[in-house]
Order: sequence, then C-alpha cells, then structure tokens
Amino acid sequence: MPTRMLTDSVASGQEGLTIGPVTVRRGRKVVLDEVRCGPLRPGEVAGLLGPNGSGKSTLLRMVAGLLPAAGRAELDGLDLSGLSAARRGVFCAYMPQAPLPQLMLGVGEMLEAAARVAGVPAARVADLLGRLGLENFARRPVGALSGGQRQLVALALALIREPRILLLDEPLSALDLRHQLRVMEIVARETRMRGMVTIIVLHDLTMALRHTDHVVLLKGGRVFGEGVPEDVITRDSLSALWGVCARVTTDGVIVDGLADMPAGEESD
Amino acid sequence: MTRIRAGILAGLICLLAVFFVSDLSFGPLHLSFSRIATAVFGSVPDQVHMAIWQIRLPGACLAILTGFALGLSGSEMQTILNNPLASPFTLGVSAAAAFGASLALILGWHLPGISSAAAVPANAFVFAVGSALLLNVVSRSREGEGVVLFGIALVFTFQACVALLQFVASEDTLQDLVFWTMGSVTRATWPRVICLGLACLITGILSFRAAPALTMLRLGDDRAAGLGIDARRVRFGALLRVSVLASLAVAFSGTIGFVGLVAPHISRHLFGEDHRWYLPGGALAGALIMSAASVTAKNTVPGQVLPVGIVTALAGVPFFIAVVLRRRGDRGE
Ligand SMILES: Nc1ncnc2c1ncn2[C@@H]1O[C@H](COP(=O)(O)OP(=O)(O)OP(=O)(O)O)[C@@H](O)[C@H]1O
Ligand SMILES: [Mg+2]
Repeated sequence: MPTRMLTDSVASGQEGLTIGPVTVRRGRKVVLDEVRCGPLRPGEVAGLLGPNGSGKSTLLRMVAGLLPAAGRAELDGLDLSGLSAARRGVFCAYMPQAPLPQLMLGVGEMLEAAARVAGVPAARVADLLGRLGLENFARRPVGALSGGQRQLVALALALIREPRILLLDEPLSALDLRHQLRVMEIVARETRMRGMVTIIVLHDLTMALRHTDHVVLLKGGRVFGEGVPEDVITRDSLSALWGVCARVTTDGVIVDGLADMPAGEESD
Repeated sequence: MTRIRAGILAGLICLLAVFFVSDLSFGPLHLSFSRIATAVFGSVPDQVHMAIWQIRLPGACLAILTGFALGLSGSEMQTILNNPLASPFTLGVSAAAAFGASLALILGWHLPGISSAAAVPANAFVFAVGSALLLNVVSRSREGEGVVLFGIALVFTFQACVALLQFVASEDTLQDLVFWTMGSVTRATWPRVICLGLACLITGILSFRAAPALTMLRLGDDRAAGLGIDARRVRFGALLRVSVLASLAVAFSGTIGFVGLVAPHISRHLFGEDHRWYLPGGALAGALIMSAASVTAKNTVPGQVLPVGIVTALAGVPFFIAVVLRRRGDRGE
C-alpha cells in the first residue's frame, strides 16, 4: 500500500498546496468523499490518476474554485476557498477537460484577449506560442485546428498567467507521442522554474511513473493512495483500480490483460 | 488581419452614410442631395428646411440608433446565452418592454417617482430587465434549447398581455398603439434621438470594455473562470446593457424584429468572434439594416411609408429559417 499516508498532510501552515477535506454530492451520489491530499510541493508535478468517473475532474474543479462549497484548499497556509473568482484566477490556472469550442476566433487574438483579461503583457502571447511550437497557428481560427492542436492552444491559454497553481485536466489525451512528451517537458520546466504547484490528470501510467514527482490515486471518490510514483503505481494498485494485470518495471508499465474485478465495481 | 477588418468596418460606415442620405432624400417629397445640403446647412427657414430638421433627420437618426441598439444587444445576448437564436426580439425582452410601455400608454400606469413623460421608457426598462433576469436564471439551469423555448414562451405571454390591453384601450390610444407595435421610426423627436444616442454611446463604451471578458466567455464558463473571470458578473452587466438598449429601442421605435438576430450573424461572418470587432460590427450591421429598411419602407408602396418593423420582419424571416436549418446541419455532421 502507498507510503505517505493521510495523517501527515492535514496540518495547515505547511509549504505547498494542501487539499481537503473535500466532499461533493451530486444528487444522492457522493462524488468526492472527504478527500484529503497534499501537501503538494512547489516545483513538483503531481499526477492525479484514477479510473473514469473516480472524481479527478471534480477535484480539480474544486481546487480551481468552481465548487465553492465543496471544501478547503490551502496554499502555504492561505485558505483559497474564501477568495473571489478574480483573486482565485491569479493563484490558479485551470485547463478543463472539455476541448476548446470550435470558434471563428484566431488563436492569437484569443490569447491576446486572455492576456488582457489577466493583465499580462501581450508580448507573452508570442513567447508562449513559440514555446509550444504554435507560431504558425497564430492567425488560424480555433475552429479550423485539429483536436490535438486545439489541446495545445488550450494549454497555452492556461499558461498565459504565471500562476502559483497549475491545474491540467487530461492535457495529453488528444496529443501524438512526440507532443505528449514535449508538453510534459514544458510543464515540468515551467513548474520548476516558477515554483508552481502543478496537478495534472493523466491516464497514461508510464507517463505518470516517469514524468511526475508525486502521484495521487483516486477510486470511487476516495483517495486510494498517495506518494512517490514508484511506491504508488504498483501491481496491486493497478489491479485494484483499473482491474488489469500489469507489470511495473523501471521502463514503465506493461499491461498483460484484464483481471477479474469484484462485481459492482466496474463503473464509478 | 486587423487591416482587413478595419477596411471592412470603414466600408460599412460608408455604406451607412449612403443609406442615411437616401433616407433623408426619400419621403412624400423626393429631395435631391443638393437640396438637402442647402436645407441642412443653409439658414433659410423654408418648408423643406422644416421637413428635414423636424421629420427626416430625427427619423433617419432614430432608425440608425435603433438598429445600433438592437444589433449590439443581440450580439451580447448571443454571447452570454451562448445561443445563435438569441436576440431581444426572439427571447421576449422586446415583448416584455412593449408590455411595460403599453401599461403606461393605455392605463397611464407608472412607477412612483417617475414623471409621466418618462413613464413609457421607464416601464419598458423595468419589464425588459425582469425578462432578461429570468432568461439568465433559466440559461444557468438548462442548456441551449431550454432558453429558447422559455424565451418563446415569454414572447407569447407578453404579446397576449399587450393584446389584452389593446382590447380594453380606447379608440384613439388603440390606433397609436397598433402603429407602435408594428415598429416605426416616423414619430421621431430630437429628445428621443438624443436619449437613445446617449444610451448607445454609454453602453457601447461599457461593452467594448467588457469585450475581452466576453470573448473568453465564448470558451465556456469553466475556462473563463480559470482565467479569473467572474462569469456571473460579466453576464449581469451585459444583461443590464441589453435591457437598457432593448427597452429604449422599443419605447421609441416600437417592436422591431429580427435586426437583433441577424446583425450578430453578419458581424460574426465578417469579423469573427474577437469581441473587440464583433460587438462594434454587430452594432454597425444593425444600424445598416435599419437604415436600409427605413429607405425600403419609404419606397415600397407609392406615396406611403410602411412601418419599418414590417420590412425587417419580412426580410428577417428567411434569414431566421436559414439559421435554424444551418444549426441542424451542423449537428448532423
Ligand atoms: N454534472 C454532474 N451531475 C451529476 N453527476 C456528475 C456530474 N459531473 C460529474 N458527475 C459524476 O461525478 C463522478 C466523478 O466525475 P468526474 O468528472 O470528476 O470523473 P473523472 O475522474 O474526471 O472521470 P474521467 O476520467 O472520465 O474524466 C462521476 O461518477 C460522474 O458521473
Ligand atoms: Mg475527468
């Protein structure tokens, strides 16, 4: 079972981001059940992993301030839940899971509008486009980009500010292999350089194993485990969470096939 | 990109000037351009001078300002409700304003503290705000289609209420009212023009300032919130502006349909969705449509001026259908 357990993370006043307790209900269903995790340290990339419907997006939205009544999140001992939307936007940048809508809006002008809203210099737009390899798309409308290109643009949008907390909900899901690695590299570099707390939702376990500093596993709205990737992504947790038989090697995760799952655990 | 758009914008403004001058020259008496110029700038107070200054100029200005107001409010509504069928007319804001105005016109009912002169626009505003807030609540709890259905319900409700008032109205007021519900700019006066002009100026500046935030709202509320935008506040501000513009337009020119629906689509087509272009473009397109409609209204039936609302409705219906059909097509892909 995971190493760093919940007990040492609740005390407030610590450096980093401490989340919880967070409880979210949707009708009768408890989507997040007293979730606590952290502290997630500045300059570290934390991977948030779990099966579909385990509550990853919900947790990220909560940290982004979109579920004001759900619970607490503290950055260096400062309670974020009391902040206004505008102040929260200064602390957190959030990239939702849903793709960018297909608008007749140039990539460049969209980012410039975002820069204006965020109060950062317009020069940052060109810089960001360059770093993400999007220079040639500046004049193209968002609606005329491929799914992966749009995802890169959405990432640029999230990076327009220089936030303290970066929340990325499945930023790799539509990207080719090269771009996946490149984005992970950029995210890691920005995170170290600025001392951000980054939470990234992933489905690729090898990616999580090799490119994150910390992993939080969610299962059915509860934290299943948390800690250093090698300690948390194990044969046992893979079979318990995803119902697969897999080997975890130093090179990555090799999935051999489906394992039997206890009845009723298949969904949610 | 910017230069192309600036060019298009300048072209539209020139076109608007052409329509404006034609609007001045057409009427029961056809006036040449030079005749208009001497009457406007000359100091001889003859009959033409009077006709131009008292009737045609305010009429032409009111047409443009009404179009501006409807175009801008339609553009903002389509953004904040995230719906290409939204406009003050299609979602009942205009109908609500018309009901408020009729209350003042027919029953003489007005809010305490408001002079009877300001009662019509004030009533129109109160009902417009009410309906806009209702739409806001509905749009938050239900997606897309729900808002449109609710808006249509508002249209029918308030139209029935206006009909009820017409039924109890006296003969004289009735004629006034019928003419007004058809939408017309022929009873323009300078105070009305100045009032609507100021409203257009102020709301125009405010919405231009909100343009970047409105652009971000197009990306979805979550993403906008991730950038530190308070979507509720942006929406609320936009709804207030929409209510001011739609209610004044209705109070002075009656219910004029489809301009607020069509103008945003034209603007989106010409300028894209960067709201620093899209909003002015929508306002300008609205002004252009209204001015053109006003010219058309004077030239369709010889010797008569049609209510301009009839012209915009007839021209707008095919467009409305095209929008609906195109939306179906998009979804079928
Ligand atoms: N608006 C909603 N109304 C009702 N239930 C919801 C709503 N949004 C999410 N849920 C439920 O909350 C649970 C968690 O959803 P969430 O989107 O957080 O999952 P996730 O871990 O991000 O999944 P995925 O990997 O598929 O993105 C799911 O069971 C989902 O059905
Ligand atoms: Mg999710």
